[in-house]
Amino acid sequence: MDGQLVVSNLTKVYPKVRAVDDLSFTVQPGRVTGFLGPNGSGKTTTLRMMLNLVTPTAGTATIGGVRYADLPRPLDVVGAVLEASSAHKGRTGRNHLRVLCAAGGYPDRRADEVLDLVGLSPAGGRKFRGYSLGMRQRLGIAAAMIGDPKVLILDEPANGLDPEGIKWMREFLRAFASQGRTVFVSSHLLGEMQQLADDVIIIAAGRMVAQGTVSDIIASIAEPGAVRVRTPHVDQLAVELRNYAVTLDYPGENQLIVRGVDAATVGRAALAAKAELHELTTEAPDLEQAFLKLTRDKAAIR
Amino acid sequence: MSSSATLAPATAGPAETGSVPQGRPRLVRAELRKIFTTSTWWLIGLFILISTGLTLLGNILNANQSLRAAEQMRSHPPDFSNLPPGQRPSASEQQAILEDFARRTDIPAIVAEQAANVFTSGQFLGLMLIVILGALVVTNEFTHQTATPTFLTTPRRTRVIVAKLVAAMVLAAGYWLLSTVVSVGFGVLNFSLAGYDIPFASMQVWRPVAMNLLAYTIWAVLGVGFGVLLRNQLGATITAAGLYLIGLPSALVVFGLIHAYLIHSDAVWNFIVAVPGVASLVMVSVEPPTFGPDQTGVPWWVGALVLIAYGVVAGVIGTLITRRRDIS
Ligand SMILES: Nc1ncnc2c1ncn2[C@@H]1O[C@H](COP(=O)(O)OP(=O)(O)OP(=O)(O)O)[C@@H](O)[C@H]1O
Ligand SMILES: [Mg+2]
Repeated sequence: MDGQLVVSNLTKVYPKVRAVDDLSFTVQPGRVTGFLGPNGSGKTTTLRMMLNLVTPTAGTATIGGVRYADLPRPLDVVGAVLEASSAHKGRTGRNHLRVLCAAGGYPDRRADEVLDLVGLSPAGGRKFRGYSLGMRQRLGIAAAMIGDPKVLILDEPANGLDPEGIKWMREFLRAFASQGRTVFVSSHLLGEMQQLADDVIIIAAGRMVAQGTVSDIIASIAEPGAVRVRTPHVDQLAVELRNYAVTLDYPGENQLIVRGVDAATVGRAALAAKAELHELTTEAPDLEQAFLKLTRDKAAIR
Repeated sequence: MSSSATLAPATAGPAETGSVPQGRPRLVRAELRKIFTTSTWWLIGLFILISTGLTLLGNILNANQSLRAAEQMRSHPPDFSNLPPGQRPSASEQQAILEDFARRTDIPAIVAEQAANVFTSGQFLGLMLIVILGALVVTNEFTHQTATPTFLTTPRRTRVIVAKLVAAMVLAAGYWLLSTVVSVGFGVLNFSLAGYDIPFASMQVWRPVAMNLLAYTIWAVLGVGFGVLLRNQLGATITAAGLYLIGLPSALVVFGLIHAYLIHSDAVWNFIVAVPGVASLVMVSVEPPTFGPDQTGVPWWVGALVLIAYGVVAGVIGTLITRRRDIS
């Protein structure tokens, strides 16, 4: 069984909101796929439907062709780290994992192995109540790794992690995907996603907005990047640029950000204005810009 | 914490199962482990010990008092010979008085009845703690949001609920054993110090003890049902304990009103056994308890059947609800 995820026409209607609206996509093994969308766009609901925690109003989700509920040993196939994958406050991290080992039919030593894997062994004997946010996320990942799964599904795993923790998580997920396994991860951190993901799926208001590789998505917005200029003659250059359809920003003294034309045009205008240039750079469009443009007007919380 | 991002080598996979139990027993084991890895189990055990101890003390004092009263009575048998011949009861009346006297001073029978009462000392408050335990087995999952990992590990939710029911019953049986060992231990000590022989061979003594076990396990099931219906921990435990405690008094009031204004037949009192708290009381009683005047009382097995019916209904409803519910 491969680790391909297939979501077809998935829909969830709550009494007051269509949380997920006819969503279809596939997630390929061997790659990290980011799942992006504004607050309340239906990411968590989608992931929970894929994992049989929330019943879809319509549509299906399969993992390697099988619905989650029909997997005979689900932890062997899918590891999931969800926002609320919590543990009993009065139970130690190790015992939390041992409970899951018992329920899933894994030997107890697996609890120690996964604690070690996420670097949580020193805190394994402490109660969950005393865990920091980062330790809780690591415990969630440890639980997801009990069955050494083919697929990881994570809901905002970077929440609460410090920069070192985020780097650790990124390397962990990249290594996982590089073994031919599937990583499907939701996030708000677009800069982080741009570094981590191969593919992204962007939804808004429960509907698909864009889907593709990170570079395709960025290229698709087809908007030239902003041009940053440093010049002692900001005013002269600004007057000259009025001849073009541009928008201007003044981020600081002797600085200008020009949108709407490319760097060559700005250089030509500077020559015409006899403005001396100290810097002329094009800021590459990034995932954040693409995301904001794609989800504009759809981002309101429902 | 280390920050290296090494993955488990493929060979360290957990695929091998070896001695790890498979199938349903492993889910029961997981549920028991959930209880034994938090402080719940010993807190409940402690409360059961305390409540058993206090009730036991009262029941022992009560038993000794009854026996002393019976002994005293026995030393003054009715004597009709001192009465002037005109005032003597008729032969049949004398016969009835003597029979009544014999019954009230039948020391072995009184010992048996009191022994049964002493041996089931843990019942009243114990059952309240057990219904709370059953509710906790479910509500813990929602309070601590562990329902998510639980149902991720076992997506077939019916199995999880069945395991919870079995685990709650196993725990209840354990607490029954604890309470019974204490009650029987001190009870036997008390009766033998006082010089009475307990009729150990009599079912009269052991049936209530066995029925008490049944009551413990069924109240555990009822607790699980409460937990499923009211996911809120405080809400479920307080409602379950409250309904248990006010069950009998409020049922007496309601049935009193029904008897007074609706159905005047005394037989109506027998239906009070439909209240779960009354059913478990009936089940462990030696003599069928009567709740109204002039009626025969309800035999113990009716109480048992009523309670089992409640347990089955709670289990089925709990399972059906859990299967449908969104975990978010
Ligand atoms: N159990 C529920 N009952 C009613 N509405 C719900 C429920 N769960 C989610 N919703 C609604 O469904 C919509 C999608 O929520 P969801 O949590 O899936 O969004 P999300 O993309 O994960 O948001 P965020 O980025 O803030 O985590 C929201 O409008 C939310 O209010
Ligand atoms: Mg979410």
